[in-house]
Amino acid sequence: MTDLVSGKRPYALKLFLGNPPGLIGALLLVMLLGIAVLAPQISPYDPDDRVGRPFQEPGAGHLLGTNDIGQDILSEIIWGTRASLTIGVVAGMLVTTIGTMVGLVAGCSGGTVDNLLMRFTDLVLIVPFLPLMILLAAFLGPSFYNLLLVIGVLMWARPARIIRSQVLSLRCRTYVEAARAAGASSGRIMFRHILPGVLPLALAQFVMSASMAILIEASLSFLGLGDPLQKSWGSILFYAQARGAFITGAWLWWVLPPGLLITLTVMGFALTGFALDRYVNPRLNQRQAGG
Amino acid sequence: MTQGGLEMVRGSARGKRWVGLVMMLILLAGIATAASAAEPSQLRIGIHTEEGWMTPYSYVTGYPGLPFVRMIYDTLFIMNAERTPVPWMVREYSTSEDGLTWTLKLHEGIEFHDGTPLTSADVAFSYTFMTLHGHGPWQRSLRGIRSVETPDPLTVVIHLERVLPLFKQVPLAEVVIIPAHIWEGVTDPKTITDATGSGPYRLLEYVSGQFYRLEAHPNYFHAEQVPSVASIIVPFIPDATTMFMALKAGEIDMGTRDVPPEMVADLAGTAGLKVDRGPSYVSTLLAINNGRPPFDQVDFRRALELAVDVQYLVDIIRLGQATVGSPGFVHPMSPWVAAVPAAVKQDFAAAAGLLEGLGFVDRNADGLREDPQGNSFQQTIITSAERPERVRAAQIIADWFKQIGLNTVVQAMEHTTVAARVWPDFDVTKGRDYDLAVWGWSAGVQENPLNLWEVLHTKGTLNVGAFSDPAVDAVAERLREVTARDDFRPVAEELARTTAGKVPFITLWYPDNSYAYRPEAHDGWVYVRGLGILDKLSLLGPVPAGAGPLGPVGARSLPWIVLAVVLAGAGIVVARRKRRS
Repeated sequence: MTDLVSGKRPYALKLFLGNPPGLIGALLLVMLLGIAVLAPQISPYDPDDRVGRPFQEPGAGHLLGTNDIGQDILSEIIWGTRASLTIGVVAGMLVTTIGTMVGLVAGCSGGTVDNLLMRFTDLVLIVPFLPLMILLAAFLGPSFYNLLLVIGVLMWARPARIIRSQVLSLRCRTYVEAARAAGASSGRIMFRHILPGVLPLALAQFVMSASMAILIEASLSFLGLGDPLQKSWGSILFYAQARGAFITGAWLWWVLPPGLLITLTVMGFALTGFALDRYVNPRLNQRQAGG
Repeated sequence: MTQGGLEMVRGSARGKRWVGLVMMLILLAGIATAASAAEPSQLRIGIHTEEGWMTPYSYVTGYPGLPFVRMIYDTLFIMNAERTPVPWMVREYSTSEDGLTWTLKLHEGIEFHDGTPLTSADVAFSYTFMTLHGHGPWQRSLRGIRSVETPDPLTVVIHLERVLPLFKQVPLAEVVIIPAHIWEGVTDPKTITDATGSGPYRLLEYVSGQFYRLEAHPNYFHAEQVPSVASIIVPFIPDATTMFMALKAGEIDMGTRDVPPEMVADLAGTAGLKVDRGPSYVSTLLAINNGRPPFDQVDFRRALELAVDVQYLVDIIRLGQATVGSPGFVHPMSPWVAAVPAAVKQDFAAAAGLLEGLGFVDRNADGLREDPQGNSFQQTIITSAERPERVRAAQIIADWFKQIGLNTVVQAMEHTTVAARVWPDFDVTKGRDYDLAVWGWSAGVQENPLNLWEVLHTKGTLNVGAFSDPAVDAVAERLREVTARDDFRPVAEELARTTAGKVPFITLWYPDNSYAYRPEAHDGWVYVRGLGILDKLSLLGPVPAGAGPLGPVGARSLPWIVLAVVLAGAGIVVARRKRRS
C-alpha cells in the first residue's frame, strides 16, 4: 500500500513503534492471544471439571474462587479467552466480508444498484441497534452460530459505507481507468484492481468489528441471550449475575476479572484499529502533525 | 413583700414553669404515641410478575398471582397451614348419607368490599359462572357438580354427580366467590377490571407496570381472624437482583421471589431481615421420552437412573437446600404418603451392565457405545437457557451419561421452545419432540393425589413422557375409585412403589423455598406446607386487644416519641436562654 499523500511506504512495525497507544493495543492483543493459545498449559484446572465446593472464595487452591458448581473461575476465564477471541475474530471477519462486498459492489456498480444498496445500508444504520439485537438474539435462540448471525446481520452497514467511499475514490484512479480502457471486465476491475486497494481499510474495519463483537457477545450472554454452555467471558458473567454475585459480594472475583479482560480486549482492538487506520489513512497523521 | 417572699414567688414561678414543661413533654409524647397508634400499618411486598387486575379471570400466574387473588376473594373453605381444608365462609356443613349432597350454612354478615351482602345466590352464581367460563383452575375444579340450590340466603345445597373425596379441598377451598351483581351478564370475563371481592383485602389501586395498593376490608366477617395490616403496597420488581437489593435496603418488607440457596445466608445475616425456609412441593425432574427408542425400554431408563446421583445434585446445585427426588415421584412430606421409595444409588457398573445387556456396546473403542445395530448413538438433553440451575443439572448429568458410554449433548434453549417440544400446547395428545429434558412441575401437582393419575397413567394429561405401564395404570385407576379422603394414602403409596422400578422419568429434587422479609414491618408470616409464606393466612390475625384491628403500637411509635422528646428538650433550652437574656 502506498502512502496516499507522501507516496512513501511506511512499515507497520515502525508505525506501531512510533505510536505508543497502537503499541499498547498490539501488546494487549498478543498477550490475550498468548493466553488463548497457551490455555491448556497455564490453566490450573480443566474449566469443565468440578474441582471444589461451589461458591468458594479466592484462596490458595483457587485464586479466583469457584463458581456455582465448583469449577475454578480462573481456569474458566483463561479458557473463556479462546471463545471470546474466536467470536470476535469470526464475527469480525463475517461483518467485514459482508461490508466489503456490499461496499465494493455498490461503489463499482454505481447507478441503481448503488442507490438500492446504500439506501438499504442506511436503513440498517438507522434501525435502533440495541433493541433489535436483543430481539433477534431472543428470537433465534441461544447458540454460538446464532450469535454470529446476529452480529453479522447488524454490524455490516458501517464498514460497507466506509469501503464504498474508498471504492469511489479508487475507481477514478488512472490505473483503473487504464484497465478499463484496456477492456478489463467489471469483475476483473473490481477484484483485481480495486479490492486490493480497500483491503487495508477492511483490515482496520475488521479490528473494530471484532472488538464490538466481543462486547456484544458479552452483553447478550450477560442478559441470558447467549449460549450458557459455551465457556466465554459473557457466560461467566451470566452465571455470576444469575447466581447472586452482585448481592453476595462474589462480584469481586467472579465479575470484575472477566469484565476487566473484556475491557482490555476491546481497548486492545480499538488501539490497534486506530493505529491501522493511521497506516491506511495517513491523512490522519498529517492532520495531527498540523495540530 | 419581703426578699424571702420574693424568692418564694420566684421559686414558685420557676417550679410552675418546670411543671409546665414536663407536662408539655408528657403531652407531646402522648400525642405522638396516639398519632402512631392511629397511623395505619403498611406493608410493602415486592411482586415479580404483573398480575393484571387480580380478578379470578385476569391474574396470570399460580404464584404469586393466585395468592393475591385469594386475599381479595374468599372461598367457602380454606386450606390451613398444614394444607387441610377447614370451614371459612361456611359456619356449618353436613353431607347426605350417600355423600352426593352437601348442605352448607354461610356465616351471617359477610359483605363484599362495596358493602353489598354476600348471599348463597352469589355462591351459586360463582359456581355456575366458573363452570361456563374457563380460566386457571376454576372450571376443572368444579367438575362433578350436578347442581347448586339456594333455599335461603345463607344456605347452599350442592348436588354431586359422584362422590368427590376431596370436595372440601377442591372446589370448596379452591374456587373463589365473585359478586353476582358485578359479574352477571359478563360474556368476556377477562375484560372485567372491577376486583370487588369479599376477602380480607380489597384492591384500591393498580398502576400497570408499577404497583398495586390493597387495603384491609373494614367489615370483614370473621370473628377471630381479621386483616393484620391496614394496607399493602405491592411494587412490581421483575428482576431478582433488584428485588433482593430492595429487601436489603429496606425499600420493601417482603419479596415474592424465592431466595436462591446461595443468597440465603447473606440475606439471613442482613440486619432487620429474616429468612423462612421450608420444603416445597415443586419438583424438578429429568423427563424421558418413553415413546422414542431406546427410551421405550425400561432397562435403558434404569441404566440412566443408575448413572444419576441425585444427592450430589442436591448438594452441588441446591447447596443442600432441597429434598432428594424420590423414584416414585411423590414428595416424602406429601400428606398422601407415609413413606416413599428411597433414591437409587449411583452405580456406573450396574448401569453399564444393563446397557451391555441391551446391546449397547463400544465396538470401535472410542469410549462411546454404539446402538445394537452398530450405529453411533447420541442422546440430547434439552433445557431452559434462562434457568441456570437446570442448565447446570443437564451439564452434570450429561457428564455422568458419558461416563457410562452414552454420547450425550446438552442443548440450552428458550423455555418456551423447551415447553413446545416437551408439552406442545399443554396437550400431551399432540406428541413430543425430545429425548431427555430437564423439566419441572409446580407445587399444585403434588397437592392433589388425583394428579398422580394425570402424571403417571397412560392417558394422563400430565404424562409428558408418554409413559405407559399396565401395572402402574392399574394402581392409578384405583386412585380414581377412592371415595374417602383417608383412603388415598395406601393407594398413593402403592402407586409410588410400583412406579419406582419403571423409571417413567428421574425425579431429581424438590427444592426448599426460602422467603425473606422484615419482621419489624410484619412478623405474622405463616409457612404454608409445601407452598411458602405468601398466603392469606400470613396476613390474617386475631383482633389485638386494645389496639383496634390494625395491630398494636410497636416499634413504629418509637420515632414519634424520640421526636417529641427532642422538641420538648429544644423548648426547655430556648426557655432557659430567654430567661438568662
